[in-house]
Amino acid sequence: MKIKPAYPPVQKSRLAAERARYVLRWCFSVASYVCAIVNLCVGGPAWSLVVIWSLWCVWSIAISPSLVEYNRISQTSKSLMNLCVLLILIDTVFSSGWAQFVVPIVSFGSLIVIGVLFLSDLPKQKHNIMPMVWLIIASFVAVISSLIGWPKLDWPMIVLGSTALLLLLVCVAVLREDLLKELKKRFHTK
Amino acid sequence: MSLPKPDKFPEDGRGALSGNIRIVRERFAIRKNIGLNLSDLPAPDRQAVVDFFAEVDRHLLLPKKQKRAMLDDFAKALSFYARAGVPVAEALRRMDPKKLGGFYARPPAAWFPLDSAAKIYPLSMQRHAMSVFRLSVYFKEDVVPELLQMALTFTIKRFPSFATTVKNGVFWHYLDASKRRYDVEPETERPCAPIPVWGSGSQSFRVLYHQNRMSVEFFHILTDGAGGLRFISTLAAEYLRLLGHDIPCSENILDIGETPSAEETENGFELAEPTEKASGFADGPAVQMGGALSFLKPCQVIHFELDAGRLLAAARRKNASVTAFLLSLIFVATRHATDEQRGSIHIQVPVNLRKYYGSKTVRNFSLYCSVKLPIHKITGPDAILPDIADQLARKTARQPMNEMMNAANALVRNLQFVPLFVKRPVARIVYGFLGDKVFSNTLSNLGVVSFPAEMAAHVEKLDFVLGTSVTNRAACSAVTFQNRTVLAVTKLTADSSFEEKLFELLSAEGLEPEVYGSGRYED
Repeated sequence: MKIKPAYPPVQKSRLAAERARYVLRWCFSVASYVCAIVNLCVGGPAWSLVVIWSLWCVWSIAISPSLVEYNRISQTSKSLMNLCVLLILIDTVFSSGWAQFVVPIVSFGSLIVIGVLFLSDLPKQKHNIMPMVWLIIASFVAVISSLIGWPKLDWPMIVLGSTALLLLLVCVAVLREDLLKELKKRFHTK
Repeated sequence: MSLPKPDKFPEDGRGALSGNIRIVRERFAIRKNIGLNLSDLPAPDRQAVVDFFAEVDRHLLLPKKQKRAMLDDFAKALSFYARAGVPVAEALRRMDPKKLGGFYARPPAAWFPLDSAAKIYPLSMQRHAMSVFRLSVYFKEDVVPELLQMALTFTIKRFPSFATTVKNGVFWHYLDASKRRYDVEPETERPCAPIPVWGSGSQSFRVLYHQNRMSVEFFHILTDGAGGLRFISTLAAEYLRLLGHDIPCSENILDIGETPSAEETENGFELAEPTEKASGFADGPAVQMGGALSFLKPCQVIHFELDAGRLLAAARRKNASVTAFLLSLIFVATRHATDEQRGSIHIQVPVNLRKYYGSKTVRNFSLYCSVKLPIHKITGPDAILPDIADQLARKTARQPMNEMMNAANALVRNLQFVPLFVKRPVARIVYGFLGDKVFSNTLSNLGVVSFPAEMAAHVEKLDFVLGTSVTNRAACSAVTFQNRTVLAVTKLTADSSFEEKLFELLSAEGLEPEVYGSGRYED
């Protein structure tokens, strides 16, 4: 059976990129397993958790980013969440105490960056607000938890709460009913 | 009017272009490399072009970059008309800005929850594997990209659920309206390759051209074969109108000036009549064809072009429908492509539900039935044909389809409050390892497509290509236009046993297929 060609040849670079991602996935998986096994064998602090989470951060941010809604706000939010988890892991595994202070600082810094990204291209970014809304909610949860007693309520936490509140007010002021429409879409159950 | 070809244009407007042209260039961003030289036009035509662009400009309230690109599209099309010797007045009439309607002048407001069938597709998609299918129209002459772009610009507004982008909700994905320039591209990827739907406002379909072929690849989240056919037919008709042909509207060719009705974007599954029984999804595993699964999906696409009259005659000789006849050959070819001696072969046959419910939706409104035969019973096409015809008649009837629709709706209802981050990993496993493994192969027959005579005169044939699944090594699809039936086989393995046997069986029936397709993207 002879097949007459009817499709143009495909650029090899496109195929190579798909293959490279596949190979990298295996490399990352193997590295993660090896770290966990070595850590278990030699004992000591659970440093492999830090390595595995770092690998996951690189994978999910740089090599295989989101399949839906890959935009600057979502990527910054995702990076922030991953970074916070990484900081908490390092703090838990190697030393303790500083993360309670550092994580809120990193968070409010990122919230400011996200706010700037949002306001700098409002017509487009108003359709991408959900990751920012989740971060604002997470910040409020952290502050409320801090008010209850854990973690300690110090100035970074107060600034984080204030930044989140300010960003929420800006959102409401700028988007008004668009914010409600956006929330209606996001929370639909049909 | 005759304008020189783009490479003969003056380098820039200093002195060479009149004041009017400079206004056009500055206000409406017609760049010098497009090849539109207004200084060659007589004054009335020049004024008409300037007025035309002012009118187009009024219809476009898009971000600057998008607007500029769309104005460039108009200028390129105008330049093509000039080269083709079409008078300016006629060219401007064909591209009447009224065809843009208010689509590009209003901010996006609409959004669409996914229909019950579409919900699985974004949940199960992977970077290298998405549910994409493709419809192509082969014209009798090579495609003019400039006019195809304009045709898409005018057509997309008629399909509001296609002018969307995929978004994450808390519980389900949804389609959010996206006002942008939807673009056409030359074909450079393998057919049915994943569509990058992740970017802000990115489109969930792509319009491609290659020689005389215009193709549209759809992410299944948007529509099914019947809805896709309506889109590509409307697009092809508008393209031919821009070429100067008078094409009337028909069942598949929508009037692009008409306001889309709510019925066209409805979730057809809500039309299901309540039944006591809601079933049809659960099934046992099916025998899979042999051959290593390719990493690139699909790894090859093969078309068997058949004489429709002879195909119908062959089916009639055996007292069967064309679908049943093709199924009998596919069963035998599938049997030939596996080393398994036990189990049964299940072939998925999609069923268009519009015929039962009279729906006009252009979104997904099809389900499937599974035609099953134990492997030891598959001895030859003639021996299994009565059983296949019987199963097809029973399983594609309205009652079982209605039960299946109710099952789909019940599933959606039961999962409606489960957050997306929980659903996603579960859906991937279910779709990949259960949903797909219950079939060995697929045959989707779009049936006989007819266009008005004015359009049919310019169309050579159609083809329809299914995207691949996860474990099924092949998927077949067919469509008939005039006297040509194109049976396409999408491959997920380099093993050629299936298509070779199918070729042998078709030839043995005296159908002598013409075979064409892609090379193997992976060995």
